[in-house]
Amino acid sequence: MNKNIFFIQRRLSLDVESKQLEKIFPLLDLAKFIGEAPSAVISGSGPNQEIYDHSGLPLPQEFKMVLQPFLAHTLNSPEHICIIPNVQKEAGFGTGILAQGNSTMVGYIGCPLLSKEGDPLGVLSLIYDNSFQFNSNQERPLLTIAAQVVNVLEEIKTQKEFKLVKEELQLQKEVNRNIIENSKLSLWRCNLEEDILHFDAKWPQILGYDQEELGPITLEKWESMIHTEDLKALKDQWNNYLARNIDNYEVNYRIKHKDGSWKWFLEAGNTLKFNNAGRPLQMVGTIEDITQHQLDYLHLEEALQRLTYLSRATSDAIWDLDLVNETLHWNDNFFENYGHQSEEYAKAGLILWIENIHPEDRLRVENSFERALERDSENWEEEYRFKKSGEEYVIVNDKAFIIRDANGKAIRMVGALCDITEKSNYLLKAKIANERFQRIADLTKEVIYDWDIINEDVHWGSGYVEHFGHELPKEKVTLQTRINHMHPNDVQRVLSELKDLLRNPKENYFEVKYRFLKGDGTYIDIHEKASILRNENGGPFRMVGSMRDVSEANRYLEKLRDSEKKYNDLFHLSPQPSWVYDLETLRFMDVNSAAIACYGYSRKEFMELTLSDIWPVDEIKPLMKEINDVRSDTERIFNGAFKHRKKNGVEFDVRIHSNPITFKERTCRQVVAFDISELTKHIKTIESQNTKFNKIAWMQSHVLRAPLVRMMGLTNLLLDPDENNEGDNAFLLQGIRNSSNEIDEISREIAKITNELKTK
Amino acid sequence: MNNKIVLVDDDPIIQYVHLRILKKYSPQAIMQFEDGSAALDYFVGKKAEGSPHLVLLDINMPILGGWEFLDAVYQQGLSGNMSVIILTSSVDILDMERAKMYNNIVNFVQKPLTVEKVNSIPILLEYLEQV
Repeated sequence: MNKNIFFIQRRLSLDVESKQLEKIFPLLDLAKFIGEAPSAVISGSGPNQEIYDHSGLPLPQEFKMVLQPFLAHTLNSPEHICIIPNVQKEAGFGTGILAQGNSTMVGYIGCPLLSKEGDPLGVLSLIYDNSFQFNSNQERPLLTIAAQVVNVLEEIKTQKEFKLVKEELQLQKEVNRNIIENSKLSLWRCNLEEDILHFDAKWPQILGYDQEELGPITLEKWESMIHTEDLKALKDQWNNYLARNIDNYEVNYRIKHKDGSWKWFLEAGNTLKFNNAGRPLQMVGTIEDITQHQLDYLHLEEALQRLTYLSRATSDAIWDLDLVNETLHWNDNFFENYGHQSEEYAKAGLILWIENIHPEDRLRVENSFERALERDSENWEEEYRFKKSGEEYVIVNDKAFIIRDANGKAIRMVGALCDITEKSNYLLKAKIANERFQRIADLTKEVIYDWDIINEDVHWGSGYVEHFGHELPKEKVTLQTRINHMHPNDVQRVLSELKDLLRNPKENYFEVKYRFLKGDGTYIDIHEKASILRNENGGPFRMVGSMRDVSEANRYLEKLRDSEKKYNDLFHLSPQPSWVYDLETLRFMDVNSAAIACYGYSRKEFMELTLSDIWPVDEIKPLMKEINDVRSDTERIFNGAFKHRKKNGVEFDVRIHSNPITFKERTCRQVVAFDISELTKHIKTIESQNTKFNKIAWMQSHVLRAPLVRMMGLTNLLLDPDENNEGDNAFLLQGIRNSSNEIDEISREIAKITNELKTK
Repeated sequence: MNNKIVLVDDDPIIQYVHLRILKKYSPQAIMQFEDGSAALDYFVGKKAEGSPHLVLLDINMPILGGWEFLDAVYQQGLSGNMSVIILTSSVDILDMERAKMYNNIVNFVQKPLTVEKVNSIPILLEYLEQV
């Protein structure tokens, strides 16, 4: 008996229908007869508490209510028969409804109906309409009848319970049948003595046969259908089970389908019957078609294998995040590349991963991660700094695929972590280089261009707008666009040079000058230089160049040329002797006509001389001192006087003015010489005269005035009326005479000096 | 201490003329030296010590001229009690400019000395009265 199928709680109660009570009614009649009662009823203790009389009719409701206290009273003391000859006289009932004389019930006998276990099943009651005398001889037969009633009730109950168990069994069978039919399970039974295998209808069906085609088969035949690779393991399992080496028989194997394909079966069995030696005689079991499951498993294995190979082939760290269980698995690359301990990550992979993200990146990464999970996106990607096992951070690119359930909830993520530090550095360097290039392109006055020759497109630097005043072209810039900006007179020449160059695979440098039309309609002079990039066949595919506005420079050169001409004229036509000499060799590099005339050397002769050839020998030393000073400070402008010597040997005074000049790419000095011989003579004359004048002035002031003053003093004395000069007159007059003679002498001397001046 | 007047001039006629003029004011002896060198000897010697002197000094003199005398006086620190009147025949502006460089020169007078000139020089009158 199946343990799961149990009977209803054996709570004893009389809950019976009148139909079932048929067997009891004769007993009620018998009880009525023995008890000499006009009525006998049976009442149950079930939930309905039905009461039936001896004819099988249920008692009316009001009588049931009357009877209720007597039934309760009887069951209160189930070990005794309850005998009440006159209810009105009975204590406890005297005040009841019966005591009021409204009832036909005067006497009552109640026999409790007790099961074998002593549980009350109901009461067998005898109802009297008059008081009665109960004879003790009546008690035994009544108890016997009651016992019989209990037997009948027990029987009825057992029958009812049996019916319930039967129904339960039927239901269970149905359930089992449904389970088996609806599952892929097939049942088998094997009689080991007969060596025959029985199976249900499903078994041949799974293998593509009709039931008629495949009845019970011998074990040998069955074995012949099994895949040879699986047969040994199956037989080992079977034999081990029969030998009781193992407790459970469970095996999976491939068995041949009618169409020749293989089906995967999972078979399990138990022994139904053992022989005396304890060896199984009969076995039953199930077979489950696990072909799809097995194929899925193989696919999964294959996929996992592929993933393993893939993760070995890539240097990226592959990760697999189970969002349901919040577990994160990494492949070996992760631990190899980043140096983390696999044991630590096995415990708290997700937390460690987050902790190792650079603090400045962490919030951003976490936010983007959560956003990706919340939205419908299938992918997630971030770049961030990730800490290796040391303190070193690397830049990683983390890409993942998000797997979602049917409701769109993210349940798993599989990703790859790639160290892009070097790439980032490279990109950073490239970025810096590009920025630097851009800055140079912005700062330079040149306009940079990059001409894609194949696709005929030009990329212009920002100067195109700034310096040329053209708007950046929205469409492709063809060669024609560039031709349109050239002066018509220059187009043919430029194009011809360009075409020649492009055709010549050995030439990769292009340089040309032309006039260019600016956005404001004016022409500027352009000096263009470019490098040509060629493919391995020498075909040009790209040209990178710069265009410089040289208008200003050209104007400056023009001015310079004018200025040079003027300067040249000035040099050669100057009346002052002038020459250019090489500061290193002191050779004359150029002389003007005045120098030729002054010094007496022809131009050719001059060109073979050095500076020292026009200096007197004793003036060479001061010359070299000045030369050395100028050599140490080539920018110095020099002014000074020297003696020079002409070709005929005559020496003369010159004042030299020299300044630096680059002549014929040599560091030179240009010299202008002023002949100051006459000037020196004049100065000397004047200086001599000045000396004489000074002498005259001194004589006037000191020498000439001395006798004069004396005379004045003497005459003052002579003329002073207060003075008594009588004795001194001769002395005074002699003094006056001497002084006047002295004045005469001095004035003559002055006249002599004056005469000298006049004669010079 | 008595103030003293010193005449330094190499010209004996001028010395004579000037002495006669000055004696009109003061009969006392006035010291006379015929060049700067003799005068310097006097000042270097202890005779001049303590007394204020007014020196009437000619410029152009043999042996030691007026300027040279003054330079020596300054060099030897003898200028303290000495006032100087340049008494010269020179009308050279350079001499006049040079005279401004010596602190103790109080006047620049052209020879010959006359009563009018003496009367116009207060310090000279002052010394003549006190001599």
